[in-house]
Amino acid sequence: VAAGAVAFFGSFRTVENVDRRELYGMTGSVVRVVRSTDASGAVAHLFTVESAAGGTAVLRPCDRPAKAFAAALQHGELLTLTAAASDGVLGATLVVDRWLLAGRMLLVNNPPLSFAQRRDSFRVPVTLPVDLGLVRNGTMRLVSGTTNDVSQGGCSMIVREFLREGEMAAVAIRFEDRTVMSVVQIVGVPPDRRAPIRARFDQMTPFDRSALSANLRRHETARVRPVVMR
Amino acid sequence: MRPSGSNVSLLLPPSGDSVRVVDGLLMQRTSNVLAISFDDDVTVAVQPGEAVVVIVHDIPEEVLLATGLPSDEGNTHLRLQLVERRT
Repeated sequence: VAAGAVAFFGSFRTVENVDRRELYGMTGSVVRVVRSTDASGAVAHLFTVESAAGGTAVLRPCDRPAKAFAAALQHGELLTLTAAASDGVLGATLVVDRWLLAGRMLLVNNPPLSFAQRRDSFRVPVTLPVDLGLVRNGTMRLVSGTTNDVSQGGCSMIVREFLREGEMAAVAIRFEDRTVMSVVQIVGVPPDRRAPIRARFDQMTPFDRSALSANLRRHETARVRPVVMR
Repeated sequence: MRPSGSNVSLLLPPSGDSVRVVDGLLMQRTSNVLAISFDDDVTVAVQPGEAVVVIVHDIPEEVLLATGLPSDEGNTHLRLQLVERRT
């Protein structure tokens, strides 16, 4: 495993490294692809990894827009690939080889994947309703969403609203027995607007922190099913 | 004590199904206490220890977490204690 950059932002850590994960291991999985030159906010196109061996990987577009996107690419163009993993985000910069018109598949190079884990604490995959209070034009605008996962340090959520990286917001996460209130900082807005945004808990009361901890423990425990041994 | 008179918005914890947003005026601010007043037709009650997010619409805008304090000033006035930042 080749170690990469490690940066510390207060108690919040971003770790990026290149590990053994390769595109080959994602055969059949859906990945998101955007042009590397596109500004953030561009909608990513979905592809499945058809195969990856040696220096070449083959991606199959998932839908008509992805096919049109792939057909318009030129040899040598750079693409940014991202894919969700249970413990972070996998990514790579791809170089376009060519679009296979007959096979309707995109040939790219086969680089090692980088892995980014942005939280110190374990993420619990849990879908909960969330209310986000955003500062807009001198007022607080309330938008609804759902969490994708929650940890002691932050959460990722799907919100149908344009957010800016670095902005602060109020958040109310609705656990079954109580609502946890917090001030969050938006730390990640993916180019694909359908993908979850990432937020870090910036301020939280000790009571809410205890409630968060207890609820995460309960959700994580509920995921483990006892197995009857015969 | 810092200058007061800023417009503020509060995100209040849910009573029932939905969270509530109310606007007010920051009357007084010390290092850890906010005093906020509301219009006469606005009723706000925050229990001691209950968390509230306060957005101070100033330059720059601030997003603060505060908790309720015992208050005898009625519902149109509210005192809140600021929660320290995590970092």
